[in-house]
Amino acid sequence: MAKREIPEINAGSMADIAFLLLIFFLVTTTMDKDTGILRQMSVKIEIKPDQIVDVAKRNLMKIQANAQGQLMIRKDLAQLSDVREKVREFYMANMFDEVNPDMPRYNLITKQFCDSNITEIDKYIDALGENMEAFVDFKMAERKEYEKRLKVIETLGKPYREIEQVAAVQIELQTRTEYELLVSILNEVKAAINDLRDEKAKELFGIAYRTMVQQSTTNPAKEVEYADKIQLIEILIPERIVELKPADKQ
Amino acid sequence: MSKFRKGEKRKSPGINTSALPDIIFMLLFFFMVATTSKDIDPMVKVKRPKSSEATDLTPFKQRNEIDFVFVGLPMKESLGDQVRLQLDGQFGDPENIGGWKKLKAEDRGKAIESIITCLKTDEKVHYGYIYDVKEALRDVKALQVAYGAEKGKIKMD
Repeated sequence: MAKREIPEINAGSMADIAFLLLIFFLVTTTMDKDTGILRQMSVKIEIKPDQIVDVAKRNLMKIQANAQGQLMIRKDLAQLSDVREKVREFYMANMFDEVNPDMPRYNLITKQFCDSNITEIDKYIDALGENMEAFVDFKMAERKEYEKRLKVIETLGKPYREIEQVAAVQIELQTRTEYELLVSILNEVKAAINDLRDEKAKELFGIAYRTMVQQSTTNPAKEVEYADKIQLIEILIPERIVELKPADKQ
Repeated sequence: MSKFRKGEKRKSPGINTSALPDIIFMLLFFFMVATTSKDIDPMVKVKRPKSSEATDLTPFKQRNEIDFVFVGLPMKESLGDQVRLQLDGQFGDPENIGGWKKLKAEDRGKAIESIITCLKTDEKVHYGYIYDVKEALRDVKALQVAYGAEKGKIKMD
């Protein structure tokens, strides 16, 4: 029998089909990535006037900005470019030694300290009456923080120095301050803290904090690998940024 | 007897286009991988500010864990010159966002606390407005907020 020739398929219109698909995807998708600055807001709880705690001045770093875009850090006029350096100073001043009384102290966190705090919180929760669920949640969150600290001591194998728990960077804007400035200030504060975390992570694990975070957003396997390390660094250098109510709001 | 043939009609050789579909497919795949689908058309103008510390929200935390809210002036001037929120396909105000978040959380079957709210805000929006939005979110315990910003160096002046 004679060999039959296989008829050739005409692929001339293949390109047209591919073009069609291509144009469809060009129209229905966007290039811009969804990026942003993540913030955790605090829970709203009712506090009686006698439960308000005074925080020592040294523990607060207030960054203020008005509608004209002018900045003040701790009541001194400042530029946006100063923020990073000032936040770094705020964290670093007493990190290794008690030198500057105007900056937050560092406390030695030991196992005994965490244990005694946990038992105290447990007692406090037991003593709370009914209708205090908001407070229970609040205290349970605090308890978790101590458990995390215990884990850090375990991993490091020794007690560590931690910045005072009330130390915080406060950001106070006015109602007419532009969003761009808020983002810029947050960016600088975050950058300062991330720089410190980078240094700490390099010292402990030989890899920068930012790199670990970056890799764990794109790679699920890395996320599992780095989760503990990231948590540890975030406890050693805590990020406490508080956004206050606009200064001129009733 | 010349070796050069004269007088013969010259035909231009046909271009082989059999690789054309391959090239187009390559482009197609590139766009499929590099872009994300846009699920809503923006109704308010948003020019995002720049920030070098902005983190990627979507690559791993998928979109079903994030609610996007646009904050800015309406695109059509006939719709007023006040800053508005865009909640999915509708305009809204800070009072509406709490109810909207609750509905979204119900639809997804997830706790409201675990869903990030990404505020894609125009750089000129005033902080007072954002503060109102944030307070409304705190009231419904949606405490995770992301301030939308583009990755890049911020200008210092």
